[in-house]
This record gives sequence, structure tokens and C-alpha cells, in this order.
Amino acid sequence: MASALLSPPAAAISDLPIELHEQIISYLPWRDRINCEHVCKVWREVIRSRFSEGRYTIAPWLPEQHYDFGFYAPLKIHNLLLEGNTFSFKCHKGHKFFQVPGLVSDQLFQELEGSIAEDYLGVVNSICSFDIIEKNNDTENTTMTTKPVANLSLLNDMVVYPAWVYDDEIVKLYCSFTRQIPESEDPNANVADDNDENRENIPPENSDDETAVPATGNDTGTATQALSVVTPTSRRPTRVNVSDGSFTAQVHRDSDDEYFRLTLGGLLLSIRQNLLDDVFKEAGLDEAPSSSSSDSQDKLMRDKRRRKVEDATIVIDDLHFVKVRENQALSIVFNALVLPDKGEPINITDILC
Amino acid sequence: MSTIKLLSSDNAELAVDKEVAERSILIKNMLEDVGGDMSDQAIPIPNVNEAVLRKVIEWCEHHKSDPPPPADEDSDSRKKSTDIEEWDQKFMQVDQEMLFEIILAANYLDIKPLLDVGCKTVANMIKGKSPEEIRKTFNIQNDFTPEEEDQIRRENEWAEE
Repeated sequence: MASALLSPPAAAISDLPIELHEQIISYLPWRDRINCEHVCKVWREVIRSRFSEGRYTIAPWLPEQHYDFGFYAPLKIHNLLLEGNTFSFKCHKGHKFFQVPGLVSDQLFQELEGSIAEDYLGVVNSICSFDIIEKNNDTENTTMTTKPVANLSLLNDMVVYPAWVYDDEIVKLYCSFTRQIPESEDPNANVADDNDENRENIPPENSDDETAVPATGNDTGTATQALSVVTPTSRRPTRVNVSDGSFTAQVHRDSDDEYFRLTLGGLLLSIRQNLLDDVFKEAGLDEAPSSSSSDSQDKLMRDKRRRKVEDATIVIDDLHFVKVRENQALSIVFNALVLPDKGEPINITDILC
Repeated sequence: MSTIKLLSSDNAELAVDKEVAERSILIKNMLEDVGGDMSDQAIPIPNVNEAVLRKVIEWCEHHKSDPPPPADEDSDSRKKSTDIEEWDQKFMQVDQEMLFEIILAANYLDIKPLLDVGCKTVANMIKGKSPEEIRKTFNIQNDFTPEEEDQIRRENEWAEE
């Protein structure tokens, strides 16, 4: 009481209780919030923890679109996703990143680096190179930027609270894709013919995953839109749908059960693996049945063909988040191209020869 | 119209219309608790000094006939819009100390619309500024370690166009 009677020191922003900081930040668009996250620890905490509340109407772990979408994962990526822009990525050598329990964003890169150096068991197959190629298709000129592996830490960590979805749904992200190949305008290429053939011969791929996402009904719209999307070459070919697939990406649940984490890096790797599997399946290069596996010559050939695909760049576009039904985790739908290193579309005949 | 008296932290007694004072939910509840008759006794507002209290009363006077805010406090429109009506903008053209004192007083006195205006004003001061500029504006200490700074720098690389 005595201190209240004294003339108080001039008020500053630090005198505000935490909930008022929250309120102030709640008015800001996401880009300003990102700046705020870098101002001081208190704000970082406010933004990273409190603003994950209330997201449950959309999804338990994904930041709400238009609101705090950019917070928990790479800003640029999310920016791209939000605007439906095209981006592509590739990773060499080792495609599996194992979640080390307790790994958090600030430490992730250091740990990853250290793990590579020390051959730490927690990271079994580290990503050696993870290039993300952004494509700005707002102008005629497409500019490609390669993000080095040094930014990998940003691909991770969306820390979230549990929310109003069924418990076992919290750890799932349903992914549904339409794999496409460009339809070349070059009269010398016979890709278009192959495409038609492929489209007829290849039945829609059904994932082995039991938790495959139900059809979303979005495919028609996304496919139409994709026709105008460019590929890394300067040509602007239209695209042909090759196959559809779906899989479930796992969201990591922390041991304390309070935080859930979907690493975007992990998601991209999962996308990549499933797309490659889809290509393998189309080309008959998926794990051979026991009858032919005895033939080691066949196996060698198969491995050799598979390797041609494994270096491919994955181009993702038209990625949308969709909620399939209440109390279920969120789903994503996207179109994808698998492009080998030389920048031309994977052609099944190439792989087979 | 009945008048009540408020006693600021620095012992200034201010007479206010009851209707105006009741923009403060704190005071409104207080008056209800005592049966509405506080004409002979000043209500102590120990957290708010005279200058700030006068400012807050000025706001309440101007807004005394505002309709009550919508019940849904967390409606999206409230969250997203930082639009401030013209009178309030002028009202908030004060130095930073006063701004935060008003916000604190509005919080303590439970005057939600005034609190909203105050927070929006601060949000508008943040908009478009870099982290360093924000720190400078509000005199916030950068309490990140060099390692954390490095992490932030990398994150900023992503955010840059």
C-alpha cells in the first residue's frame, strides 16, 4: 500500500501483464508477429506458446491460416504454401530423419550438425543436403533460390497443444496427392503419348497405409489450376495427371504428452518418399515379390533403375489444407512432379532402359 | 444524475457522473455491492494517479452512451482489426508513459473498450518495424544470447523477400 502512494515510476511496456502483451500481439499480422518473436524472450514465449491456443478449430498442430500460420515452421515455406505457389526440394543421400526425443528448434541444427560429425545414434540417416528451390511465379521470369542446409533447423518444430480432435488423430497428418508429369510441347518428344498410355494403364494408386485419407473432392479444381504452373525449365508445359496417392505423416508426440510436433522437414521427406514409391510402383520397381527376388540380376537392375529416381527433385504445387471431417486431423492435398536431376520429367521409358 | 467521487493514488478526489464511472466494470460492481449509494464517500483507486484517472474519465465521458461491446469477446473482428475511431486516435496521442498508464488503468478498472483501444494503439506502433526498431521504440532489452541471436538471424534470412 505504501508503495502505491508514492509516485510510481513512469510506465513502460514491460509493466504490462503478460495477457496484455498477448492482446497487443494478437492484433498484429503474422509478419509483424515474426518480428516480435525476435524482440525479446518474453514475446517469443508469448508467441510460441499462447498463440497456439484456439487453433483447434482448424487443426491441432498446424498454425491457423491467415492468423499465425507462419509461426512454427519455416516462414518462407509457409508463405509459399499459403499463396499456393510452387516450390520444389531435393535431398541427397539419406532420407530419414529420426526424431530425437526432446529435440527443440533452437538446438535442432546444432544437434543435427553434431550428430553428423559424431555419428550419433539418434540420427540414423541424416540429411546431407536439403535444397529448397522456390519459384516465384508472379512474373514471367521465374527465379530459383536454393536454400542451403544451414536453414534446415527452420524446417522443424511446430509445438502445439492437444486439441479437440480424437486422441489418435492428433498424431496424424493425412496427405493426398496427385502426381503429374509435364506434357511436353516439343513435337520431337513422345512424352505426351507415354502420358496418355500411363494414365490409362496405371490404376489410381492406393496407398498401403491403412489410414489413407478419404477422397476430398478437391482434385478437379487443383488439377485444372496446375495446368498453368511452370516447371524448372523455361517452357511452360501443361500437365497430365499420372496417379493419385495418399499417405499419413506422423506427428511426433513429446514424452510429456503436451506438445506435438510436426516437423516440416519430416513432412517433406515423407512426401518425397511416398512420391518416389509411387513412381517405383508405376515403373514396377517397388519391392519385388518373392518369386523374382531370387534372381539377383533382376535385383541389381531394379536397384540401378531405382537410383535414377532417387536423386529427383520434387516439385510441389497447389498445396491446400483441407479438413475432411470434424474431430479428425487435418489433411493436405497437393499436386506433385518428380523431376530427375537433369530437369526433365521422369519418363518411365527412361527408367526402364 | 448522481455523482460519485473517486480517490486517485495520489489522493486527488475527482467527482464523476455515476453513469460515466460505470464504464468501469470494477467500479460498477463495487457500486452494486454497496447498494449504489457512495455519494458521501470517495472510492479509492489505489493503482491510478490523478493525471491518468482524469484521462480515463475523459474517455469514459466521451463513450458513456456507447452500446455495450459484443458478448463474444474473442470474435475475429476484434482480434484482427486495428482500426481505431478518430476521437480515440486523438485521445491516444500521448507520450508512451501515459499510454501504458492508461492501458494499465483500463486493465485494472476493467474498461474493456478502452483497453482494446490502448492495445491496438501499441500494435499500430509495432507494425512495420524491425525487431531492433521495436526494441528501440519501447526501450526493450535484447535478452537473447549470441547463439540465440544467430538462430534469429538465420530465421530472418527466411523471412526476407
